[in-house]
Amino acid sequence: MKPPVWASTAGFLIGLVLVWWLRPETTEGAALVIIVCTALLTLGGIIVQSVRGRKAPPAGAEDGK
Amino acid sequence: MAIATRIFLAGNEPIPGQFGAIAVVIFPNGSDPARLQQVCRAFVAVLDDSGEVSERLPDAAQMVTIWPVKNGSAVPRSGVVSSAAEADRLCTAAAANYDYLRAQQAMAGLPSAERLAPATRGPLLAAWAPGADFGRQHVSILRYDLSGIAGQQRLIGAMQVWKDKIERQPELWQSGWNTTKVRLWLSTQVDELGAQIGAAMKLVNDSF
Repeated sequence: MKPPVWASTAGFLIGLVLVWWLRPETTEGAALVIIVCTALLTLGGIIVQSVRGRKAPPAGAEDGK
Repeated sequence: MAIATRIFLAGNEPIPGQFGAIAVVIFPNGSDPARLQQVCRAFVAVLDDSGEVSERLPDAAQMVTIWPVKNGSAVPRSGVVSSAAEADRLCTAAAANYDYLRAQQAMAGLPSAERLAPATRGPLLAAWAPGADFGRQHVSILRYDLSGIAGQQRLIGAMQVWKDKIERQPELWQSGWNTTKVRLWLSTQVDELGAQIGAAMKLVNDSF
């Protein structure tokens, strides 16, 4: 399943803000923050998307097609 | 008005009781000398010299933090540090002559729950107010564990938190947290974890 773009972008941006707030002294630390935030939000986006996909009836289901 | 100051106190000198508050920098036995030096540099950079403040203000206005040193060490009790090189020299001596015995005595004066946890690198900053209550257990004690803080700039930031806390909020003598403390701690964790992952990745690369 494709991860929603909005979730990845939001994760990346939140990561950037966190890097600015935390001011890690190493590149590895900064990279870790961005990667973890992007990964978590992407995962969240995938879960939200799959839950929505399950709830929504497939197109044309009511018509018995 | 309260001013956070610093003093290097030798083992045979009595702990002064006339100060508004007395704090001790407590390291566990056998601490890394490099860490002691880093913390000392932050200690010297942030806290005012007690001797200089004593010339202008009564001791009761001072919230003094003690760096214990061994008897006969060449570390001066107080003195203004005007350059980085001077701070380095002072801290090399202060780290080499750190008095673990006095630190243990100070730790023994803390309630068990407030002591430095085992296997932590410290330091623990613990303060008693008023100074005459130093070492007593059933009085207000302020503590700040710096074990989770690494890096020179962060240690300076943490020492600034300590200074602000004892100067500005003496009425709130209890363990607490603020956003700066959380930020400094989180930032250290992120760097340390990042370094571990980086090292692990290098190991994996090297094995191929």
